[in-house]
Amino acid sequence: MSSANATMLHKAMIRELFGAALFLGISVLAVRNFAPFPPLSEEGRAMLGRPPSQEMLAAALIVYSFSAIVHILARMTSGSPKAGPFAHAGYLTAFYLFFHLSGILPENFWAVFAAGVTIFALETYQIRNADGEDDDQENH
Amino acid sequence: MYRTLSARAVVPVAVAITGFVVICCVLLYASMKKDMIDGAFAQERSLASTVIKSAHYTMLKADREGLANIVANIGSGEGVEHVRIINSAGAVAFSSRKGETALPVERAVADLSAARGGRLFINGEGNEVLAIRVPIPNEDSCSTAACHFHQAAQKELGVLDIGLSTKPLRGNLAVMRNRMLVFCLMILVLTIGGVAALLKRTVFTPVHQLTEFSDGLVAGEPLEIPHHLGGELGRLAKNLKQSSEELKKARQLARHESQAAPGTGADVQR
Repeated sequence: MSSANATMLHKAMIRELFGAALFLGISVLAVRNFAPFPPLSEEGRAMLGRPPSQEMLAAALIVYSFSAIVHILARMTSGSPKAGPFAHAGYLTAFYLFFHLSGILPENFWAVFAAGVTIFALETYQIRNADGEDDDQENH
Repeated sequence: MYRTLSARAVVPVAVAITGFVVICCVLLYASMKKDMIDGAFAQERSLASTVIKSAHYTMLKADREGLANIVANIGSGEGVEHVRIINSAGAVAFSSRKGETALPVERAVADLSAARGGRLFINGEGNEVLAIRVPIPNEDSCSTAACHFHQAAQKELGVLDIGLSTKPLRGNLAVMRNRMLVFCLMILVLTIGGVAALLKRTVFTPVHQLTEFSDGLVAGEPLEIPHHLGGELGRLAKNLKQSSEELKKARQLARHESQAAPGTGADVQR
């Protein structure tokens, strides 16, 4: 493996781990229903408007997880080490916030958490796999 | 672990399928739970309406003893945690629970989070209760009755507060959750096991045989092409064998030529 490639993969892996750590940190806050933060005021709620229904949020989470998994598998097939851990952490945090503001986070926490674990596990595997392919090519 | 073909093929499939099934199951369970709770509230509203209708005559006749009996009898039913009639002054007029009658509602009722509509809370005995409050409307027959003092302008005579235990609902949800868990496990085992078994049969075992065959060729062992190898892998094995034999022949020929030709080898060196 070339030194530049190894550095790139190393950086991608570090970014991935930071993204996963950020997601885990947010999940710790979410599992406690964002207790350290003050609740949103009535004026704030009125400004945000009516929250989307549980069905809409569930459908959005399913579509997001499905497309993210397919996207990662496609990148895995092409052997690309590219990943977007911070974008995924952001999307998942948005889901936590939407569920929280709709008052249905406790029932749906594990769905968002499972989505995050799956996406980060697959991305980590994808980068590791790209790393492994490069090692194999070097051995030959 | 990550270097083997089987790990590279099966691990991403297993992670992706498991993750997606878990996401869908949790969301499905949350959705079904909401639907069941909504259904229980609707049923409770219907029960409250029945109670109001059945108590209508006793209220019209101002039969307090009869009304107290109706409330006590309904309250003693299985799964009924409480039945209260709260008057327009905000005091508990009738209750299936002893000691609550005549108390202001703030003192008698532990949870006032939703004065009207449904609420879910834990009562004094530690039981989870699904409760609703339904207004008792002032009807023409009430305001015009000789025995009564309700004004026609008064829209509501009071509120019926009825609470049911969530134990049956929780039991049903637990059964549903366990069934979903078993169903998911079966799907995961079948999908991942099926993919792994098919890959092993069609890819991993032939590739392993091809690897051993090529190792044997490199070691110079006389080998037959494994009969399981068909298609592309069979052709690859055939080509490998042919190349190996041609290479062997070329080497032998080169050796013969070098031995047969005079003035080469040692002579040249000398």
